[in-house]
Amino acid sequence: MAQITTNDIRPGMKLEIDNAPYTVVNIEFIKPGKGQAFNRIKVKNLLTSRVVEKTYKSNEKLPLADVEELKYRLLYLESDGAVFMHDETFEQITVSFDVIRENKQWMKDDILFDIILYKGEAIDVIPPTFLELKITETAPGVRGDTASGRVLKPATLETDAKVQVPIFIEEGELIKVDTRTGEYVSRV
Amino acid sequence: MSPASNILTLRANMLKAVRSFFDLREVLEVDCTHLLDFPQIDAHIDVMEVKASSSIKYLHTSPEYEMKKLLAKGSGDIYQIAKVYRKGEVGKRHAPEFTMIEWYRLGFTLDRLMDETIKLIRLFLNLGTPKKITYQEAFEHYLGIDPFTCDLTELTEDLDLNRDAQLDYLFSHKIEPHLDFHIVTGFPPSQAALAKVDQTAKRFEVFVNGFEIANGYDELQNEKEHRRRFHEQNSMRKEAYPLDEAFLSVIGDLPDCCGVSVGFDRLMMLKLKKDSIHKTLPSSFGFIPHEEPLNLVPELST
Repeated sequence: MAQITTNDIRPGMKLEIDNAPYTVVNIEFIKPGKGQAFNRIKVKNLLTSRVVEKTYKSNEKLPLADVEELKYRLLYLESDGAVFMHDETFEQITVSFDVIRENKQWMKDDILFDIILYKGEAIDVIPPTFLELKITETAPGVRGDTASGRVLKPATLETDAKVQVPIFIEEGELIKVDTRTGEYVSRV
Repeated sequence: MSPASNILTLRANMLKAVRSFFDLREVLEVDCTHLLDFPQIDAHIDVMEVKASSSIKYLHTSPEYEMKKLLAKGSGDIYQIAKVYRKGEVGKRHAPEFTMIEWYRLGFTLDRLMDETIKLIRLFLNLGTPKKITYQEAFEHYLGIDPFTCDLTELTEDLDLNRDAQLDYLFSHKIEPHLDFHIVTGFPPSQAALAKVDQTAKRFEVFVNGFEIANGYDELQNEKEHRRRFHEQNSMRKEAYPLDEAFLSVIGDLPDCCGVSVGFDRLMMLKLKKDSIHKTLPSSFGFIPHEEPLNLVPELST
């Protein structure tokens, strides 16, 4: 297994700790003037998203996690998962909704997603930061209603995501949303 | 004025203030060589090698040995403001090259040097009265254990550490962050460095806002004891360093004195309220992306 010296660890690197993949959030060098040097790292478990802090002796070697991030295009949804295809290798993979979790609401076909693979198995699917999606359901806006301070209304998008949109947006329109926050960005 | 030139001006002013501080006390400024024939010996400090001519030289990790040679030859009270070099020390509070203020006072007690050190620190920062605490009291207060007797294995994340490294872990991770303005004394004899030992090491460290700022010793004079400690430190290194016999041959002539070193850049960090030492260094302006995560220099960290 590939290894890295603790001093060379940088944010974003993937480490194997206690048989789980972690991504490095930050790293700090701690050393009393004449004493032992340590590297204190904050890491996020890629399976559970739990963030923990760990300390290692400087110059110790740690195993790198077998983690890769590849771009796959969504082909279609099945009852319990989504089927993606790699644009160049045409390799297809099925990722269970258990892995996709809350990002299921952004599963739009023909869009490129980042898929995180750990030991060859998908462990996370990350949508593009911004998506253009059609509104499939929203109540008609009532003009002049802004005076009451109510400027947003609920809407359902073609992927079943529920978002808040300005009251002037109508059913059937295409809007841009931020998938990190689920917030409306603009009309397309 | 741009932020960078503002920092440069402040650095210049503080360097001037430090020089006036010592002028006033009739302590002589010296500028010893930074290029040594032999590396300084500390278990946990790696020395940078440079090719000066046909021979390899070693950049000093502190001006201690060269200043002690001068003291042994009768220089009297001396101080130095020097860039010092420590291989691989890169972090928010560590730069592989940093500025150290080091001085020696003949006939001073450790207490008197502590007072003077606090006065120097006050040139930089408005501080109240420091709390004096022993190493043992610090462990008892913040961890509820006795550092001289307690088994520390369970407290140190299962790291493979010797006793002193366990103490270093606990001190740096669990105690230091709480020390807002403290003088710590009574270090374990195994961490005496080149200080005299009388049950505990006759050393002090000053901490401000959780930063190690100053490190002072009642200076060891005995040659045999120097050799014993150098061998002990060397035995913990992957590769032992050769000894500086010129230093050892005069150390017996070192007058009774206390010495201390203070991290200039860390004081600047606190004065300027910067979260990284690199934001206070003149050489960093322009290439350290200040508002982004610290740009670590990979080739220096091996």
